[in-house]
Amino acid sequence: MSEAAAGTPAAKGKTAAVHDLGYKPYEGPRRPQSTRHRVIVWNQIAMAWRGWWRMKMWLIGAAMMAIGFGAAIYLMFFVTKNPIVQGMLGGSGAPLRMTEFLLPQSVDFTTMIAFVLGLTVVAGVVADDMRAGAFEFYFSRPVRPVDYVYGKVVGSGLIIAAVALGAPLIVALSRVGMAGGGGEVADSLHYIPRMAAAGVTATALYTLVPLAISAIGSRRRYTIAGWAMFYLVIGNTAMLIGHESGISAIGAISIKGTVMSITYALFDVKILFGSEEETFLPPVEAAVAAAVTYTAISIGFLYWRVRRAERAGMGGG
Amino acid sequence: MIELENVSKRYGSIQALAEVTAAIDGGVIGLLGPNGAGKSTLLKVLLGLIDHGGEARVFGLSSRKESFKIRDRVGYMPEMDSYLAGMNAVEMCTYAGELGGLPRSEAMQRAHEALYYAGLEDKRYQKVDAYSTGQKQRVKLAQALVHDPELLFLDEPTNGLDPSARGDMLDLIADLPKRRKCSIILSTHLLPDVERVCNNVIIMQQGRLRFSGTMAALRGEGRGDRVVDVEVKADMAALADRLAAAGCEVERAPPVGMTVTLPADQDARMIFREARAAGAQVRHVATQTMSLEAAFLRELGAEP
Repeated sequence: MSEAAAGTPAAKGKTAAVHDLGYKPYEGPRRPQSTRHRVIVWNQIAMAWRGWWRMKMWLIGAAMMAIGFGAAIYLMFFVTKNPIVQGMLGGSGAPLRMTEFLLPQSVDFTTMIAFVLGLTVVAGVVADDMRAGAFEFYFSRPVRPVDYVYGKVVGSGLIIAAVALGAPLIVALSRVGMAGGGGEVADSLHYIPRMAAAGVTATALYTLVPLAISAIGSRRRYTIAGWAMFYLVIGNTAMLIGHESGISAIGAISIKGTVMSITYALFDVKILFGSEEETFLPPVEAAVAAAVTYTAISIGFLYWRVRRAERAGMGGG
Repeated sequence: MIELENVSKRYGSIQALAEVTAAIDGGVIGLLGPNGAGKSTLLKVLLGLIDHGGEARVFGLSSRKESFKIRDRVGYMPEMDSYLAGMNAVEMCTYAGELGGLPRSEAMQRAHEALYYAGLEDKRYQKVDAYSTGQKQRVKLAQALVHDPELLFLDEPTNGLDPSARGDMLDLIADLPKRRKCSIILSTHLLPDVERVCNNVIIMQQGRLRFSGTMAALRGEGRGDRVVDVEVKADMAALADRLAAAGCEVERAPPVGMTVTLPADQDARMIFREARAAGAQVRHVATQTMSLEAAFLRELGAEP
């Protein structure tokens, strides 16, 4: 394989190298064109995996949170089953009921981490590609806009799901694992699909909305700021207006409000602030409608921007 | 290799391509034209990126219906910056190879090869964002090569390069067909670049094809209008008469010079044959070939 370094024009100058790896035509099989989006998925994850502050630190945070909730649930079980403590509490069984609250509450915590991951990993993805002219890189190859969108959505989605779905599922499995006997295990299995549904909802919204925001412009600092602004300022303001005006459906504009409303509904838990009317969360019907709308608008906008860039992004003349 | 049949493309009121019909063989082909001539639009059409009228075929494949098959066999070096933020050159070229269908290990090996070939072997682990203009041009060439294409589209590859880097880039382009057995379409508005590396040329202006053929044909060589300057030691008249009788157009420049336009089926050896017969001693023969710039301007309908 090796030949004289002088064989290539580039080797003539001051960058002359010791080795020339040579050239032979590639005659092996090629990856089917229908699977090229998987390359984009894995590249998205590989890029996010770099450095501590993009992804790893937040995964560790989510794991610690899951362990913390698991420990809290264990403590509740210990308290409930310990006759001395039960005697002190008058046998109310309140600690055991607390676990019913801890499960959806774990989603509340993971959404905080998912929001941060949205900032560090997701909200700059398409903006970076626009700024660097990467659409020419992608679309001069057998990659369609739908492959690009699929790759970015699934790649980002798997990263967010590790936190927003994985951690709550660990908490739910901890709850099931602490059940006493076979019958008790069977009775608690329903927590898993409920938690999975909550986690999938959170994953979808915390992936798609920042990804769509990242397609608005070509400067990542602005798109990241846009996601933060939308999530923190607009979301919280909407919940506040919903609460103050009595039209709590307005709170469904908040991504967090939407996710938590659906989550609490899945676990049949109500978080009240004094009375039934004082909840900040939107009604579940409004939350479901908002989740569906956000999903559809985000995917539609993302595809439209990428399709437009594909058509317009190859230079002029 | 490429067949175009009445290819048209309109952007609103602008006719980017107008009924372009051509058949283009392999080799290094210069795609020449002023800004707005339709060069990049033609490349887009060939890659199947834009809808168009007429029929464009690459390797016998329709660019409208089989664009993915074409893109697997074509490498594209874009004019503008085109890299992936946060990646180094090896990662970017490996990624390009994988998107081009290569298995990961093969893509990585070829990424190193392509970067070595492009002269970036000692910079290949640096982030592309921080590259100089010349290095970015080189990495764009490497990413276009990595999946082993049979045809390369190079869009203004020497843009922004200093003379030394430009020379290196043109050396690379000239070497590619020999070393990698691939054909090249070099889109540029720089005539010296085409003159240096291309053996065929396509000239476009305002979306219309003005010329398609070899460089020699563009300059007028072999088209029966070759002009030769001749000087003789003595007896210019006898030679001039013989050449005129043999079908040449002779313009005398006394006392010893003449300009001879040779017939289509003759070459400069005819001068020596006739000189021997006329007993004249030829002291100087030089073919007047048209400069590329003059030929280019002629095709565009402008005065040289």
